[in-house]
Amino acid sequence: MTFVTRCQAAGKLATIPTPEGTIALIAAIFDPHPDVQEVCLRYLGQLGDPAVLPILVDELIKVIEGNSLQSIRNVKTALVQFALEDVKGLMPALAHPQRRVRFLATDTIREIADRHAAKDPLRKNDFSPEIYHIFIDKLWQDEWGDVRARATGVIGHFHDQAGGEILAKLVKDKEWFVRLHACRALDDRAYLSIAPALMGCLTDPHWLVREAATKTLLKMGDLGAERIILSFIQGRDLYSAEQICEEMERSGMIFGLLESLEAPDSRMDELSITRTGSSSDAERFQATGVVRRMVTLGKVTMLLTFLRSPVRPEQKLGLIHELKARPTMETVDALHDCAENDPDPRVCQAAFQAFEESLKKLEAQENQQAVN
Amino acid sequence: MLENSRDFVIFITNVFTNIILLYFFAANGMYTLLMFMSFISTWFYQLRIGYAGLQEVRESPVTPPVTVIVPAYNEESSIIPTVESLLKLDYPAKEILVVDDGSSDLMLSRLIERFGLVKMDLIYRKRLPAKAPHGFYHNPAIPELTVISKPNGGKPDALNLGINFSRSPYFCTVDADCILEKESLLRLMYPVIQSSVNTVLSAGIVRIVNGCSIQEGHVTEIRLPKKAIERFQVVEYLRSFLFGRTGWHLLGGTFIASGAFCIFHKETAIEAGGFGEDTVTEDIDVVASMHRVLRLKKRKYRMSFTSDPVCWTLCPDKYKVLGKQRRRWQLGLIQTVMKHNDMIFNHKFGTIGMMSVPFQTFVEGFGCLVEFFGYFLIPVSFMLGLTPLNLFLLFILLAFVYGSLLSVGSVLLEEMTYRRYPAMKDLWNLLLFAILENFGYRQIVVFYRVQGFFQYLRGQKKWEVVRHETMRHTSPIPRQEAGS
Repeated sequence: MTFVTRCQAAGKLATIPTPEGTIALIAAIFDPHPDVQEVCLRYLGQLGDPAVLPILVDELIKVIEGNSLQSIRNVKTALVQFALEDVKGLMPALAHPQRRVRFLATDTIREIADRHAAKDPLRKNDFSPEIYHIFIDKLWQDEWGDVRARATGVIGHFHDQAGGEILAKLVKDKEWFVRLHACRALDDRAYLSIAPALMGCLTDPHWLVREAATKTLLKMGDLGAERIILSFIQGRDLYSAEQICEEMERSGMIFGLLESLEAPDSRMDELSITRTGSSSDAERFQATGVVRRMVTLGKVTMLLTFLRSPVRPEQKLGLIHELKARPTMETVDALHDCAENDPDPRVCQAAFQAFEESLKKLEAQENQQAVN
Repeated sequence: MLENSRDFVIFITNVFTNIILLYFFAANGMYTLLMFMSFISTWFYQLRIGYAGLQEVRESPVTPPVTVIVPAYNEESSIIPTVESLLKLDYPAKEILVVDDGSSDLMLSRLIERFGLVKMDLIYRKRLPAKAPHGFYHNPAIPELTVISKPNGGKPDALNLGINFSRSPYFCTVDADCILEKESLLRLMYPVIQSSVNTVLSAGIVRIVNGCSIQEGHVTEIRLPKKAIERFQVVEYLRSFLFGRTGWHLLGGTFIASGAFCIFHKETAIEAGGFGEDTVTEDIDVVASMHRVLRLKKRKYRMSFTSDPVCWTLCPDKYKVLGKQRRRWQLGLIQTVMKHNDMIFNHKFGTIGMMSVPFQTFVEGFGCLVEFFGYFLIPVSFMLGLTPLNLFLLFILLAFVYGSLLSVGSVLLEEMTYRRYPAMKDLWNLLLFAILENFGYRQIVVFYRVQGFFQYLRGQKKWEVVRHETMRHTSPIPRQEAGS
């Protein structure tokens, strides 16, 4: 019988599961052909019989200890297909002294939890008490960074105070990839209380952590977005500001902000303004602040596109007022276009004045450079 | 004196005749070996795909993300269906980067208009040398798509920029005039995901789209093209991909991967220096550089070829354009093998050094000269009575009859396994053109290859621009609004 026939037979045994079939599949994971081993392990995972789990966990441990020739990936492929309620069967692997065993078991539970969470959000009660406690008490402080990193993904699904506190600590971990995974694990509105800890990651030395923190805050809803905007407007860190700017542009958030932009107002010139006024004032403040910061950073491409598009004249007036503060040749061109082509006379006039002022500033800068 | 001269001429003619026949024996012998390997490999692949876990890969939250990089220069007529097909790819985590290499046509405007893109300031981190981009275009409603515009710097430069901007551990290069089948990326990534050894390259098959119907980025009807030149190329592509590359994959000697559709492990490609500009076939060069780096560092790796994930591309429909394409391929191949000539018969590089590179150098690279002169020398010397009849017949057998058998074999392999051309009439046409290919078309291609060889000798570095006919659409394409 060729290995293909044996693989096909395994498929048939898995289609109509019977105890005898499961026993045959378990026996076939030791078949000499790797294809048969792979297929049988996959089908055993698909059947998800809790009685098989200890055998597979035992096999995983043997593979890592060098006592079995199975492929780690095949064994893991089978394990990740088990139901969340069965994962307590992985306890021996989670408490194993060999760190690779702990890592693979943690990663397996993370994959299972992620798969379930894609359908329904999870809570701590969806996990068995043993699993909950080993993550809360031990795995998050494992000696190996990879285990800690993978544990964050599971702890994030607990959605409770203890889990939140642990994640708040892990966003300050010494390993960048642990911080990265911790930032991603907080990707839920339920963790809004951890947002201040996450804000610290906006200035992380590793760009992937900065990016993850920004994305997570943006996914936390309006309050998360508000924190991001405040950080963008008031923060000093250039890299963090660039990252936030990119996420605001990519996510389309900037379109919504620019909607709130109005004609210039003396109150908006003071960035110390606080959210004491009406919500529309707050939105205006945010929009003005964001535009001002973008101009300071030189990230004006989207603003110039906006200036040339058919939007309310008040928005354009607000934009022109901010753009003239730091003119570039690109800005001057856009102001010139606007002055010549905009249908609103107020916008044309403001754009023309801004154009003249910007031109003078640019000339002065050039002269200064020539002198230097 | 006259008698001595005649003996000398006969001696020289015999030497050349033997070289030519030896070449045909070696080439055809290798092709036969590859044919058998391919039959076995494709046959087993067909059986195995039935129980492959594609569904698990599709549904798994940990399937590695892939960045699809599309370098494009003046592709206004074909870029929209290409991007349409990429957006519809069935893959859980993909990022699509179209790199506009300083096009002078309306390609960028068409992309902006069709996908509602907005110019943005995105962060660019340089890892490989490439000309700095001057614009990023994105639509938040289509988060997986980003278009980057840059000054013209050539295809390798555009690819390097795409690698720099990509966010995934793997990237897939796709030509701007290609249409990918919906499951192709998943199938191409499957050997990468399933392998326990680091799979640094996974290549797929390229087929010819001329004659087929395309609707909203999908090939909806597969038919043979009308023109003979296009049909010859259909047979040629089948032979090259189903025989050549599948066979080399089984021997562990993948050296050529079509940049039109290929997945690379990003860090390995970066370690190998990315796509170089010193050859005109950057896709072959980067594969050679990756072999070099990994072999010298004694790392375990695998390069895979799968004949199932399909990429459809336009082929030249005029001999003038075909000539430009084939000269470039030949020039690039010779540039690459000469650049990596220390690999030839070097045991440190394993199958690559002992089989692949020598075969590509002496059979595919320099062989065109032997073949070209053989077509003249042997018949002429036979007519002059300098070559005996048995040698002349052997030449005819090896050059024409055996070549036809190999082509017919590739068509039969296609029919026995994939059966992409459903019409019976198309199959008969394919078989007919598999035979006819060796009587005229092959000799023309050899002539172009010889021209490519002389371009190499002249030190030509730039490639001739190849313009294809536009793809045939059967439906209008609606515009997508930003923020919708």
